[in-house]
Amino acid sequence: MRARLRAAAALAALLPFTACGIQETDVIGAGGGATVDVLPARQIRMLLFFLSPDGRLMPSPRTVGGGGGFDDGRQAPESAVETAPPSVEKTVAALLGGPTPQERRAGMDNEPSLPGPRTRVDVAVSGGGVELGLAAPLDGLTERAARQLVCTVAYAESAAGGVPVTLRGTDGTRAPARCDLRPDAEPAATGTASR
Amino acid sequence: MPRVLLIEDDPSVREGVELGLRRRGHEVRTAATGEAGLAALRTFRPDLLLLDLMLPGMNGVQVCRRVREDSQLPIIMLTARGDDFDVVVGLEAGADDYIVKPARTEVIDARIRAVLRRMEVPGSGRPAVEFHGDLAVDRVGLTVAKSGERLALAPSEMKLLLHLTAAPEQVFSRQQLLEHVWEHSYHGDARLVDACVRRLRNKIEDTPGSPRYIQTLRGFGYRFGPL
Amino acid sequence: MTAARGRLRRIVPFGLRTRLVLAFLLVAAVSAGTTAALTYREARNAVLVSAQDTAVASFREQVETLAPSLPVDPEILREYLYVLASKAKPHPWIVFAEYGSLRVSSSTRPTSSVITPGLRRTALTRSHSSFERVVKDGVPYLTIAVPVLTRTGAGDSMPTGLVLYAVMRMSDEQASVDALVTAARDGALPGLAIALVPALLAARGVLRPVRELREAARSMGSGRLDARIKVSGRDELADLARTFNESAAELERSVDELQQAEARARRFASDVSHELRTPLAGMLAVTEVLDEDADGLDPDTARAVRLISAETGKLAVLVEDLMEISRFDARAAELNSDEVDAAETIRKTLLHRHWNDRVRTELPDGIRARLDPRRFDVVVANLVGNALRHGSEPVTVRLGTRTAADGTALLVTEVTDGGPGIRPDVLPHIFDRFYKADAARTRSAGSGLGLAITQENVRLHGGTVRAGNGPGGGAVLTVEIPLGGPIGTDGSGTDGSGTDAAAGAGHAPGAGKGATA
Repeated sequence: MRARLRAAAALAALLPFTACGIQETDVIGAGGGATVDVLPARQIRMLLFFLSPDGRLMPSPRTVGGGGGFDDGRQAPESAVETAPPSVEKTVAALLGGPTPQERRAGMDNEPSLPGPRTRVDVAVSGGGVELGLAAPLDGLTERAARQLVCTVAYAESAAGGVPVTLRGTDGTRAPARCDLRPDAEPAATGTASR
Repeated sequence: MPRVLLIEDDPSVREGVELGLRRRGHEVRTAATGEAGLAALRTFRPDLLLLDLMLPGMNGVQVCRRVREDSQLPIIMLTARGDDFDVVVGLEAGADDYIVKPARTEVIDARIRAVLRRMEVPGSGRPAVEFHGDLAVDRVGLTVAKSGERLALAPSEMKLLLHLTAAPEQVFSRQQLLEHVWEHSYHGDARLVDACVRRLRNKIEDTPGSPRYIQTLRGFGYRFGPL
Repeated sequence: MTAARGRLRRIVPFGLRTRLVLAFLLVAAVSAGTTAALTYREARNAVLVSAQDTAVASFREQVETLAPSLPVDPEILREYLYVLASKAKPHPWIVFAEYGSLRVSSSTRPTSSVITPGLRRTALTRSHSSFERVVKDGVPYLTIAVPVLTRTGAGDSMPTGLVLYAVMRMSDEQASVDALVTAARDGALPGLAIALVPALLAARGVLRPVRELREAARSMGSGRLDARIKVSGRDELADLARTFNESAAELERSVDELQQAEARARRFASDVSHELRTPLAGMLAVTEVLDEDADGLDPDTARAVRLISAETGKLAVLVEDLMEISRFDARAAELNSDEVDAAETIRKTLLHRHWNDRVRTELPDGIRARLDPRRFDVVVANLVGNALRHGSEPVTVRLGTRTAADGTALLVTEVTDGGPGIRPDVLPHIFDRFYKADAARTRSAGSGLGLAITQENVRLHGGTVRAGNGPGGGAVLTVEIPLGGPIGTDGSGTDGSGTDAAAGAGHAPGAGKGATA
């Protein structure tokens, strides 16, 4: 009884002196991120999705130039202005062509299981969705590689990137998927591939 | 043999003391009240009065005062120990001695004889009348006069004065005075001495408050003079 | 009284007062501390939140002014960061950027050790800003992470992969918070000191009835049974005071009754002795007649007459002793002190009773004492008479002086006998009235009151009487009375022989002075 009283008294006496100064905190949310306009502008770019070194999708806009293309279109043309957005096929071909040195400097790269640069692609728009045909088997294609393709196709087809995309390879078709850029949805395990 | 008047209200004490004293040769007359005693005093003319202090009606102290108004008859009070206040009052009223009741007859007899005993006559070579200041003390005639006027002294007062003047300037303790003047034991009641000294001073001193003849030595006793 | 006051004022280490004050102070400390702590916390949070919100909002605002081209060129990004760093608010910050594997900062080091993996993960995986407060090496930092998004269509946006971090030292905030702590402490301590005053007042308020109770109890203990406490209020202490008063009244009533009963008993004894005295006076006067005439009577009558005569004498002594005791009980006994020579007084006592050739004496001359000769005679006579009756010769009376512990000069009278001594079981009772050491010895020559009267007489002189046994086995009765009379009556002490300090050795009176017997 007496000891308890004394302990309570000691605690009470100590109370004012606890939590002095500035304490550490957890990570605290503080509103949205900073939304900015990036260059090149939407009208003159195509949006490719490469993988960051830690396995997340990173958008990389490329200015669409005339004559830019398959053989050696790695250098982004600067003066050319084209009013019409580039075709989906071209965009996919640019993705399969891999990152430019500048993109590579920022650590962007393609998923190794993506088909090579010369793979033929065809696109068919049907109903509300887009079907991407690849002249390559889908068998070894990892989930990340699939997402690279899905997001690149989706944003090439519509500005908001909301359309479902179906991947078709020489060995079959995958179920339609939508591009989900929310980083939260990113799978934690980098090496998991779904077959 | 001395004639003794006994005033005592209690019949058994009265009868017992009377019987005892008569057997010892005293001529005894008794009275039961103070008034009767005063009346008997005139007819019987005793040598000594034995006076009980506790009397109905007129009490012993009043009787004592009345007697002392015109007589130097020796008076012995009968008292009970513890009646201290009465003893003091009785002594102030002029009694010469007191006896505590109950007392054996031999004690009462001895006290009577002591009171009645005359001081021994001084040896030859001393004049019959000595003069001390204004006082003239006649040791043979047992009279004291102050400035030629004779003083009425009770027996105890006379004896005390004679004892003190016999050795002027000598200090006597109260115990010594008790032994020699009253023939009491050394351990007797010193108030006897004090009361007697007070009475004597009232009679012989000019200012009793600052005595000249009988002087007090605190812690030791009394002495006569020096004048 | 002053001594009692002094004792009251003393602070008992863990007395009621201390505990009350401590409890009061504790409550004051807890409430002051809690208030200070809460206030402090609110104030601190306000300071921090204000700084954080300002920093986060302004950082995001700054970042939103950018229009980077993707993928980001590190050199251009660094230029951006310099701009951002220059617009720091409210305090300077260092800006760090992460883009893919690129690490750029506005300082010399590309990465910060303060930014935690938790913050980095949150920034990368969620599209909203966040901040974290980090203390490193005692310095608090605010770290802010803002992911850069870009619009993809109407109201929709996606992360660009670029994340900007701002790291800001919170030194000013720390200074403010420290100032708050100091202010709280500086406010609380004087507050506590001021709280001491009401604490003492409250303790006094509680303790006053307790003190009154104690004083009343003490005065009751010292015999003033009419002590009462003023009852005020209706609290527990008032109940206690009321109970005390009731108990005190009850006690007073009981004691009063007892005293009255005792007084009645004493008066009865006194009255009986008084009434016995008158017939005895008559009887005692005629015993002589009986004694003288007994010879002429026939033998049986003569024996009867002598018996009556002798017993009448004893009865007279007994009644006289009873009267004396009654006077002591009634406190009517008076001391008629006189300054006398102690040795002469004792010699006269022995002489008067014809004991002078049966008793050895060691009576040094010149000791003058202030005492009542008649009562001292009774004391010595009773002691010597007792020794002669119950002990065996030689009976010795010694006189001496000694100095008591408190400096009083004492007259020491010692009576010893050559008998077997007093049995230990009897020793505590020999001054009791009518105490018979030997049940078989129903009556002795004394009245049975002799030693009791002796004790009362010695007490009247302000002295003590002790009984014990000497080394040789005989009984030793020692009377010590102040040489100057009872304390309070100033003895004249005209010669100083009695105050000889060397006589303090004397349990054996006279030994230090040289035997004179």
